[in-house]
Amino acid sequence: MKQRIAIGSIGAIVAVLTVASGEIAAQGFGGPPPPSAAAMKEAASRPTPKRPNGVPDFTGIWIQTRSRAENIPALDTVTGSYTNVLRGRTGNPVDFERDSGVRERVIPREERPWYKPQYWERVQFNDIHGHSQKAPDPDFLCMPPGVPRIGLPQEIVQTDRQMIFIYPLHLRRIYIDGRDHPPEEQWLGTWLGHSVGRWEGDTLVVSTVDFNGQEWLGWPGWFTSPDKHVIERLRRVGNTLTWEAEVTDSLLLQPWKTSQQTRMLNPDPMAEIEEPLPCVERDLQHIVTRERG
Amino acid sequence: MRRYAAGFVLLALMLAAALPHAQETDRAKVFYSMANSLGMLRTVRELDSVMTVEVWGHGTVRDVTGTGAIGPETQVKTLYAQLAYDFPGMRLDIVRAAGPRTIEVVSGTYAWNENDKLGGGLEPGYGSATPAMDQVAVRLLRIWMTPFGAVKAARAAGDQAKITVENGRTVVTFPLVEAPPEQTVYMVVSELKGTPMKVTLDARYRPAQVEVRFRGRTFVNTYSNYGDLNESDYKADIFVPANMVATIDGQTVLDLTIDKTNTYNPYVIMPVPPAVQKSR
Repeated sequence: MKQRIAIGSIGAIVAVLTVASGEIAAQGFGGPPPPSAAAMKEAASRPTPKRPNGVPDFTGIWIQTRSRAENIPALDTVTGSYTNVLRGRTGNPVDFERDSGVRERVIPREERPWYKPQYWERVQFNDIHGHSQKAPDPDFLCMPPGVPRIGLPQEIVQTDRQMIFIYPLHLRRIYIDGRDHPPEEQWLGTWLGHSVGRWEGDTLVVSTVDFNGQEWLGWPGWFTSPDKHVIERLRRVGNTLTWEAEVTDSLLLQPWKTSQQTRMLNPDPMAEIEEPLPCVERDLQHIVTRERG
Repeated sequence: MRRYAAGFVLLALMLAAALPHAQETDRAKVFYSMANSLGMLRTVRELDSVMTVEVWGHGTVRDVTGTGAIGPETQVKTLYAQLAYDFPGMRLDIVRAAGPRTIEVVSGTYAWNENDKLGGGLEPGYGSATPAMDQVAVRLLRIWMTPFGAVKAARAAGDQAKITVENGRTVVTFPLVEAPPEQTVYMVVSELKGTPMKVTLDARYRPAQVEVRFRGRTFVNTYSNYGDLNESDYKADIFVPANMVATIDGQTVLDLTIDKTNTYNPYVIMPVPPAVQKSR
């Protein structure tokens, strides 16, 4: 009996840790700490570089990186274990999962997308079943996160005709040569859409359409339709880059705005971005609980 | 034999020390114990993390008419409630075994009834909403009389809350107060401002009875059989009463058995329909 309980408990903890691993990655676990407010302020005070045609130059790496020689610290520098990293009430991974699941859903009403009432039940269903076969979060299945869920790029490469937004496993092309979106009958239905950009002063305004309607706006079940239209605004001030997005979708009562994010340019001219591990979904069939956070 | 007796006494003392004391009168400790015993305090920072809740139940109801008269008892086939403490709001959808389905909503300082559909009246062609602005205070009272609501309201009252002991139980008495919005609570009390609320706690500091006298009537909610009523693979360690009895002037108006909850801060929004906004 004891053995069965022990095996069951280990299984539960492994399942919880497996689910939690995405969370650890999302928190930037193992990466350098984010820049301080003082560093951000100093970076913003630098001159904003311009391209020969007069528009701001967004080229650069917009995350802090670790040098090749630097050792990656243990999960917890004192104990080397996950226990203190999983910030639950007790350090118990089950408590971590439940605390995280409750806490991460503390999203003020004004910051949630306001779905039309006929879709409320589906959002709730998606939220409850986001880590089950019934309504899996596409991000959990290793699908591209979609726009704007994908957020700010790690790196930007800019030419006069286009900007390449580079993310850990994806890239987007933003055409800034004056072209428009293709007519709707030519849309392909994609995860990251078709993006065109134009300048409003020093702000790059990116319009993205042509989605497949499978991507979610956020992990608590916020699904979308293929007619989603996203407007992103990016502004470089000195060595900082600020991003925010607004989503319109026929599923929503009103446009939904993301929170504003600001990143600092990586000042290291030798900075390199490590190749990320591939995303391979192997957990869904083994998860025995709908708790997630 | 004497050794066994000594061991038993020692064990009893240890258990008594381990269990919370039901006669605690330190205000901060009582507030903490109330929130902690319901599972509201989460993460190592112990933040109040209960913002929205869904409840499913069944039982009996007596409808209260606009004049305040209490009607006959009716079987409740299903009761579905959405609670949001952050704006605050409550949607109460009752399907009777015989009689009409009613959907009563309060959201901030607006109240209305939805006809046929949840969210009716928000979109043209999708249900409708009838303003019920005279019900704002009574419906807000429902929110603050829930166990989580009572804890949040007591904490908002701060040092206006008095802690006493009655019949061996800790009792918290305080006036309902307005307070600036916080992450998981916004104390909107409207006409209830200053109304005294009396919360009698059980041995584990969970609200066992909440009593309010408002507009000359006495509202009492009694709660029992607390547990995590989320589904078995969706437990959250947040505790709600499985049984609730609400009375007005001693007459039972709701006798509810809660079948299921979702305490993982589910998606609950209650935008005010345009027709209701115009009614003010």
